[in-house]
Amino acid sequence: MATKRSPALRLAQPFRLFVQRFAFLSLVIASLGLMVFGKADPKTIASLRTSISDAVAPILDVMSRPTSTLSNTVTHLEELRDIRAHNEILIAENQRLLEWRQAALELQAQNQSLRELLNFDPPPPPEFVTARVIGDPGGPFAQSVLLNVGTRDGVTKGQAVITGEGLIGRVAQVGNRSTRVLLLTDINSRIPAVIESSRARGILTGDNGDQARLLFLPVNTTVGPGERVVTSGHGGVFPPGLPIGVVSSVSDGVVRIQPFLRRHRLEFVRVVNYGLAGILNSDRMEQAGGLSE
Amino acid sequence: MTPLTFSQRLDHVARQIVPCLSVLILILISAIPFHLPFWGVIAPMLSLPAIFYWAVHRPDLIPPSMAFLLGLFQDAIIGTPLGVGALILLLMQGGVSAQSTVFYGKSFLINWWGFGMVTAPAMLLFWLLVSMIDSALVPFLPVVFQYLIMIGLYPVLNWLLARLQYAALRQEI
Repeated sequence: MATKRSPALRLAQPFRLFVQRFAFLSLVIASLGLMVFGKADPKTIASLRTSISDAVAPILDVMSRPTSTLSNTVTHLEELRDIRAHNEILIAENQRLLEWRQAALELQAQNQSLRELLNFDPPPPPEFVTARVIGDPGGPFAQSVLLNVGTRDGVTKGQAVITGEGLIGRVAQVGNRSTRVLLLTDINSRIPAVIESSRARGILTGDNGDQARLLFLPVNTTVGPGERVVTSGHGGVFPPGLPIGVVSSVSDGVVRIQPFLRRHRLEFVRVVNYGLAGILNSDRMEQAGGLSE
Repeated sequence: MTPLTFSQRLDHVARQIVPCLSVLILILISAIPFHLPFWGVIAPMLSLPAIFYWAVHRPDLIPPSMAFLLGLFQDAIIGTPLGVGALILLLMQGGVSAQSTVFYGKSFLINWWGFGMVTAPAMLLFWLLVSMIDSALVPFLPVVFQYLIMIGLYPVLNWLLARLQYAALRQEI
């Protein structure tokens, strides 16, 4: 068959190979270009990403249901097994909490009267949206989760995402019906935090692992394992006092934090609007050097 | 040869897109919350074994352009910088399909070994690129674990994809 090929075909063969090689090379260049472009103009790239996650959100929503049902069943069985031990712990804890409740009521009454003395006008309670985690794309290269809410539910970029245990991250991207939360353990996450007891301020940053680090603490700070770390409220992104985690270890000046965030237990989270977005909106964050991404 | 009817052509197209669809679904499966402790950090990229498999067995059905698009899709879902996954899947597809005679029709063990050999530099490049773009060193140990999990899962995926290929594409060569 090869001997009977027409001259045109014989010419076409190397040409086709050339076109194929050229196409491959241009795709390689295109992907390199996208990386550079994504660094130079994050906004355009983010909108492409958002439209893709918007498109797959309904599919992920359905696909994620069986695994959460299964995980719930396993949790229920575990709870059933440990029900006696739990009960004893809860009775003891309830005793302690009742004492605390008494103290809290007294303090509340005192607080109320002091506020009246000062004519203090309390800020409005924050609004929140409850969302389901529909995507938890794992891997060592990025730490984020996808939620089934979006701009149509009132979510905007930069809002805090919390569970009952504390802060888990911030809204990094929001589409019409999907939201990407940058977890506080992500390598790009930066959250102003304080050590609760000593009020030493630092910046909490992730490293894509299970823990986070507290950087830029004042030079002569003494920190010990077990101390609680909360948001400081600096920068106006989050309100002060949201629990983040506890100090797990201090070695060679590196303060490691074990966050309260338990990624494998995330199922329902709250996206909270503290009304702070106006103080540090995304445009100003980008001008300040990409605090958001 | 008689011309194909419309339904035959439709059937043909549907079978032709099975490989791309399988990679797409595997990417979505990687993104489902599994609620397993530590899984979040080391969850495997299921797209790599699938791209390897199809590049060996039917390189014509996932051309470089599709590998590129699937990689972009994966970047958008995982949250890695856009273009990194695209480049990795593209290079994997190009590299393996150029050498597919080394793997095609050989024993499963040779394929498995080949996947390990090809994925190691791919993961290293992934790690380097993400570290460069994020301008911070991404911890390397989870990458090694992710690599080992992918090697461990390869036999299962190979078996599943072989069944799929047999079911959907056995009439077409």
